[in-house]
Amino acid sequence: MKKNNLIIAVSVFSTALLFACAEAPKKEEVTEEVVLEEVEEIEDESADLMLPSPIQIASIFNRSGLTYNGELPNSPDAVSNYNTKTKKYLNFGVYSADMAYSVLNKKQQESIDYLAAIKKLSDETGMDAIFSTGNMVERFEKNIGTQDSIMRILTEIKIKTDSYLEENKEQAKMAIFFTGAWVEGMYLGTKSASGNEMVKDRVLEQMNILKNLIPALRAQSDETFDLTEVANQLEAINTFYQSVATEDAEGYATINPDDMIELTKKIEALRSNIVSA
Amino acid sequence: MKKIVQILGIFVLFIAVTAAGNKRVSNGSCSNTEAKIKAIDSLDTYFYASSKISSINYTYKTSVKEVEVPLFKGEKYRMVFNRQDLPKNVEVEIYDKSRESDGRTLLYSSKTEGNGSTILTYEPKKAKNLFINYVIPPAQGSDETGCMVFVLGYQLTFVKNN
Repeated sequence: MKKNNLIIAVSVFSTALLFACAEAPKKEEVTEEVVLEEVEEIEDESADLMLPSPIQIASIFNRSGLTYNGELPNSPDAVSNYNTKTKKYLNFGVYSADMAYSVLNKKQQESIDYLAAIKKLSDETGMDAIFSTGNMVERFEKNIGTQDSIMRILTEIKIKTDSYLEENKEQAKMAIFFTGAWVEGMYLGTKSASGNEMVKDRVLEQMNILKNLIPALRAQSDETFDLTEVANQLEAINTFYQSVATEDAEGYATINPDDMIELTKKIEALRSNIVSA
Repeated sequence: MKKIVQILGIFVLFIAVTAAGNKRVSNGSCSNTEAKIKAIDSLDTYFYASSKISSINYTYKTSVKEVEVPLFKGEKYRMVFNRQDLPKNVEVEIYDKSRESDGRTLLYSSKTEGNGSTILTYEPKKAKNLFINYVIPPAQGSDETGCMVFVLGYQLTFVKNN
């Protein structure tokens, strides 16, 4: 019996060693690799872009003196008109920017209407999980008079949206939402930039994002999206901007008033394409 | 003898659990919400702006992965990195220019300022586009992967009396 136990013990120990050897690196390999490490190898890929928060962009415009104009945002009633996946994703972003614009300008009913539009689009795109926990709609309506609380709820929605995409390995789609939000923010900014140098400066600062956003949009592997036209329009805007922008003494971008008008028109045309049915 | 068998049995169980734990990290899936929640907690009073969870692949040589972060003039930011889902520490370096540019300045290095912590934080003095480099050490075995969690926060200020 004792002999049998010894055999079992040796077998068990050998199995354990095999497990350990399978998972742990061999010492010889480590030594060899340290020698190879002498020359640093750079990964052959372009830099990843961290997309900014549309809520923060709206906040920056707001502090620059962007005045509220109720005629400019996309109507929440238009949400029923978006029947394609591409339009739903892009306008999720558009409405996010419009909601932040309304919240920061203390437009309570408009804010609630935009939240309803965003919820509808998230349900229709299979992202209902974003609103399924945390009673966000109820909390949003209850706290509508408290700007700080509302901004925290908007931030919570952003965290849940990002997490949903990460958990479903759909991070690339963040670029589509962001495009909608960016175009809407730029539309609101350029339409109000006339005579306000601070807003104009902020608009030009945002142009820096385009050079990375366009490749991110073109890199979508999901062929059910039709983003070619939007990407082409963004490309045309970027090409125009790069051809007319200069740097001031402090290294910040500047363009002349005529070019600003042209830039405004190009952004308006793109925005019109995105929000149309 | 029975005791030896029991001890070895526990040892095998420990090895198996450890191996399974390693596989969780090395299966290439970067959706660990726990790591992200911890990073968000470290934003403290800063508002969450966005996150970037990068899949880290350890190759036979040291390699670098770059992330560009657009920051806006006059804004205050906090960057948080959580390295808990990495089998081996990846060093974080932050530069003012991309790796393709000449004369870039190193603004932060976890090697000198991180104290070996799993969670790293950095608050840029001047808000402008920054370039984060993940310096990935060589693999010690085959097929080693992990996840780097990066969360960006910003200081939100409101316009009064608008």
